[in-house]
Amino acid sequence: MILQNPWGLLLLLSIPVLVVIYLIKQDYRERSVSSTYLWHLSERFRKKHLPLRRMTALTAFLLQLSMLALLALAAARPAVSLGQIAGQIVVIDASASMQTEQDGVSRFESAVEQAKELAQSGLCSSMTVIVASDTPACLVTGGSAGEAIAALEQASCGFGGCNTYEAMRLAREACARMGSAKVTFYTDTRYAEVENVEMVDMNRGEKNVAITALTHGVGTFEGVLVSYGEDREVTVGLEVDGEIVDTAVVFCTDGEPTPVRFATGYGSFGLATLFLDGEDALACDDYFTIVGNSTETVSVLVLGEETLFFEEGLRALGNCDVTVEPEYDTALEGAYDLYIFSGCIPEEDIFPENGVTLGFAQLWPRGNFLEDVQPLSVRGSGSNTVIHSFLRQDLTADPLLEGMDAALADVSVQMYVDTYVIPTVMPAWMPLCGVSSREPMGLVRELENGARHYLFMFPISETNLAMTPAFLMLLQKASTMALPPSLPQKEYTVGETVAITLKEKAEEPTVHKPDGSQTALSSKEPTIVPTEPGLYMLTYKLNKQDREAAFFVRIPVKEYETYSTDTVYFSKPFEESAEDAMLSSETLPLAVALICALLILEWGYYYRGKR
Amino acid sequence: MKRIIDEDFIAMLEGHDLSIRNLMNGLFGGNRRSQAYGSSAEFADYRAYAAGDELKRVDWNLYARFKKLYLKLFVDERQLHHRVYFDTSASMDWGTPSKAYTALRIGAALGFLAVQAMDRVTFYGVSGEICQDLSGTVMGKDAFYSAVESLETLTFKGTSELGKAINNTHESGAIGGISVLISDFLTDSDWKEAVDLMIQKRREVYLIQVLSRDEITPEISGKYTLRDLENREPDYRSDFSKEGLRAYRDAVAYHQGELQSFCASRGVGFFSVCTDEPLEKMLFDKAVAAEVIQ
Repeated sequence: MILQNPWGLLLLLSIPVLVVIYLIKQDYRERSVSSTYLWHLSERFRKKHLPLRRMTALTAFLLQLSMLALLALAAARPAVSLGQIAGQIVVIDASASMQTEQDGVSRFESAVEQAKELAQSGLCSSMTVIVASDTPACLVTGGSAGEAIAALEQASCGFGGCNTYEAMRLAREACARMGSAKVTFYTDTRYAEVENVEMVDMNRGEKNVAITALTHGVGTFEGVLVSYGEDREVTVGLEVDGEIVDTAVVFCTDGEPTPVRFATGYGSFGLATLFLDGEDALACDDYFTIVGNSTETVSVLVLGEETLFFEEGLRALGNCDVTVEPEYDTALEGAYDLYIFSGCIPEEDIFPENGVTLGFAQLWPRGNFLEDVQPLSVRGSGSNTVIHSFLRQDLTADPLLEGMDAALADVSVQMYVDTYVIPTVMPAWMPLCGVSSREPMGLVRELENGARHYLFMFPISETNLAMTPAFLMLLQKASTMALPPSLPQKEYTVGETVAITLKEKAEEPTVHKPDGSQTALSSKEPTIVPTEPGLYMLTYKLNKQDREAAFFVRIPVKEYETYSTDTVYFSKPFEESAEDAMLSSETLPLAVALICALLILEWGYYYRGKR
Repeated sequence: MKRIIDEDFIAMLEGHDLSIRNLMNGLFGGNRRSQAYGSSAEFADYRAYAAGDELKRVDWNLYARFKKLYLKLFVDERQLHHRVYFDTSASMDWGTPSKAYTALRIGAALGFLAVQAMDRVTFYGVSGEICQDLSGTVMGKDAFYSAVESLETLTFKGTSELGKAINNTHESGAIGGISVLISDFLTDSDWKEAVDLMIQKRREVYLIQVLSRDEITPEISGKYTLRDLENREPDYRSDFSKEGLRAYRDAVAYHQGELQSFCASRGVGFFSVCTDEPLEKMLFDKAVAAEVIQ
């Protein structure tokens, strides 16, 4: 048995104190009684139990002595060896910070070298090697020194974090297989609580500068740099869409986030990268890329003669590829994401079955399927009088109109459709908006594949909608619904699952990694877990067109801090034996509570006697 | 000291009497049946006529039947003289209510029953080796009430040597009656000798032990030196525990058992009371059971 905290035995000094207290307590108080005759007589009956009585008198004292001794022993944290150590378990932290280099050798490489030396030393008969990355893996279990060295040579450091809990679970399993083993953990993290594991600190005080953030404002880019280990002057550059547009010299205070700002005048961009000029200890945090809005393009087909409003509005959005055609041809179906019928509702109900369709009806719907709706009337014909506000009533909760402020948008001429007729003649359509619930001027229909059709019962020329901010919002929402972003966010962390959302007809999604390799993904629920930082490109085909989206993957924030990382607590790797468990620090609170309870009882006993 | 009797006390005793087990000789004019034949209205026996007998006592009905002369004898009634001895040692002045108060109330009750039955009673206070007459011979209720007033001024202090004190009383034993000794009997002194002396003088003897609650079931824990109030016994030092209290209770039971067995062997009545018991229980349960009162 060894004592992990021998200073705890100092508590044994309390035992003499207790003895002194007991000696002081040996005073007899006086008390008068009517006669001591019966008390003397009682001696005759007490003598039979004399040894027991003496024992009883000593019980409290012995109990207290035992308590103090136990407390002192618990504080000393004794540990009982589980037997002769048969093997060695090596756990190597493979998080990104372990790639920090000094003199061309990274912490991880240094840890591997030390582990090899341990294997070669012959101090253990068998060895287990565990690489603790985001997904820790056991490279060899209970292998020979040669096997361990071979496994160590194959080990590589990741760019993510270190899943300590999983690594220690693997260590526990390995320990169970090996009988007993010593665990050595090579890491650059200073854990707050470590037990039963030999920690080897791989932090050598390397200096590092990290770019921790980059954001785009109105015509500006703003980055954040942090220097770890020293105050330092660094040079950073900004590259936008492949061109270096500016550089700056920034003085960074040790551990303090330092902002750097570039005024570029860029309103929109594809990719912008802030990079560090020069080298430092950790390379993977020396650049930061953000992805702009113009990477995914929405294909829009505008039909009819009154297309000017739509063309201008879509161009203002910046990410729309607009095609204008006078009439709709079913051959065009599937080639676009957003279809806009401006005053040219086709004769038959042959709206495209993909993306989103916005239909603005002609004034007199003669010769098309709307004729069957039998509009009750056309009010305000030929007049410029504003008769009803657009979106006066939102009859159906719909993502297109949700949150839209259309108070300024009026309609001067419109058709009224009888609500009772719609279920009969246009059964799939639902009222969307209108003057009242019985007289909708907007209808919506959702197909089974998710395609949506919107039909407004007025021409765009008979409303001031296009002159209001609500028009751009309408087009923005329609284009977003037509081609929802394939990636929910544009920035991820190494090890984080990237869930990609593609349209049903999207084909062949492929991810291009920063190292140039490609990975083909399943077109159904494609996901990828990036293992290295950098810019990832996603390419796929949709509507016979090549699409692409980009996302940036960074190393975990904690890994930037290559200097001081002592905030993470650390769980014990072993299930302790019952004997160990009784003496471990986890049982200390229980032991203290028991001792306190017994002391209180003892005090009560003494106090009652004092009275 | 609180008054030891009041109206309720008197009312409670109405209808009760001392229980006299044996017929004893006494003074003329009393209300107790005696061993002698006398002139009461209670028939006792017949005997044959002898010369000199009064003719008016001949039972002529019997003469008519048997042609022989028989005299009709009647029970004679005498007045007895009872004695109540109080242990007035310091140990009696203990407890709540005090043992002294309880002893006086019991003694007064017996005294009242005596005078109610037209007997005489004398109260004695035993202090040291002296048996002090506290009230003189009490006969009649007026005398009883004035005797009670003198009892209320009685002080309890010092020690008592019951045997020597009672031996010092000039009791001839010619007049019968009961003798009651009221004490806590927490001593090894010669109280047994006192009992034997009284029996020798053909008294009907009763012992009444009075103890306080804390003497029967004391509550004490820890280390104490117990000091005897009378300085008769040596100090007692102990670390009191449950075990010690249990032994004490055994000692109490043993002591009372010894009293009981001694009294039984002498034909002496005995009962023990606790001061916190109601007087009714003392008199009408325990005293009646011990055949002191009927």
